[in-house]
Amino acid sequence: MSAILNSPHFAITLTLLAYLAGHGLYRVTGKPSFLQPVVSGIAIVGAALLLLDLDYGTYMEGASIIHFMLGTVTVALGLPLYQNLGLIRRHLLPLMVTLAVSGVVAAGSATGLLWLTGSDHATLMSMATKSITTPMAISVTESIGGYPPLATGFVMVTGILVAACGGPVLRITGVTHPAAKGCALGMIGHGVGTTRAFEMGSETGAFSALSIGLMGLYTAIGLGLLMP
Amino acid sequence: MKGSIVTGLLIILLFQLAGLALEQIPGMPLPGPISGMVLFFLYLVITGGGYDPEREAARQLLTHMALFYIPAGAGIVTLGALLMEQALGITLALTLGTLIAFLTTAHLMQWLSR
Repeated sequence: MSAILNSPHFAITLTLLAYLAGHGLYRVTGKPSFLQPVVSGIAIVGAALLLLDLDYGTYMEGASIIHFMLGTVTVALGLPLYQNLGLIRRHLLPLMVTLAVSGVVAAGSATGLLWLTGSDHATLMSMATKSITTPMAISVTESIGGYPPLATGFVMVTGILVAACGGPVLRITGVTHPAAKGCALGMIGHGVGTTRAFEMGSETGAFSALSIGLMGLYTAIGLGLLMP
Repeated sequence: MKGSIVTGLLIILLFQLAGLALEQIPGMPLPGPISGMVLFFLYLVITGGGYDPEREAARQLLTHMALFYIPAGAGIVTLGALLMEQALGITLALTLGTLIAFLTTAHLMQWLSR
């Protein structure tokens, strides 16, 4: 039995099943942001590892082909960036100024607060990527000495908070411009925030979508230069 | 359907490989896959949008993006002790940190877009 449970076949099958189950759950519950398919997918795999008393390292080795494809997905993110090029060029100056400030504040406020409470280097490095899309966050955190699983968790919680509270926060503080709403949801809340942005309107959604790639690239370059 | 998903996947893998090659340069600040994304983006700009196979492969990968981070994310099961130990700092960073960054971004962009 343990030969089966420790095989790549089991690891890959479990991952695909968990992903599909996560999707099903998201759909039947009416797509609440806290039930992102990846959150339930990770929870299902995590629960299976704990219940069956399996070693995470063995699972990860088995599922390494799926993990490898994460790099391929990151490359594919060039497509939405290209598709939003027109919008980026039309709003180049405000976008670049906002991005420059937003990236520093997002990574700086989170790591700063964590550092004040006394944290170790690897946890700080995992927190620094919390506002960028998961595939990019994993490769960046890997290269600057953070823990990819921790970074994934921080990215998901950040996105969910932005999607759940972003609308009321924008309304209360008087933000009405679609570009401003979209940039806040996308630069801080990455893909999860962008799903919410498209519900607010197509222009807000487009700004949010282009913000994902810009924020990811800017954070990756910034952290890469600061933490060689 | 023009071309095939295999051709498209091959083209994207070539950019991933090129990104990996760039990563070997000393002092390169970007991880391989992100350099690969930049190269793929430049390719799309130069060719005026690329061709069907790689666009279709990219769309398929992006549709199922969440699948690919399950293995890395599941590693959270090994980090329970760390999360408990730093619960306060992590909670502060994720809530207050996110609120600060969100408000700064929204209001700066609104002010700049007047």
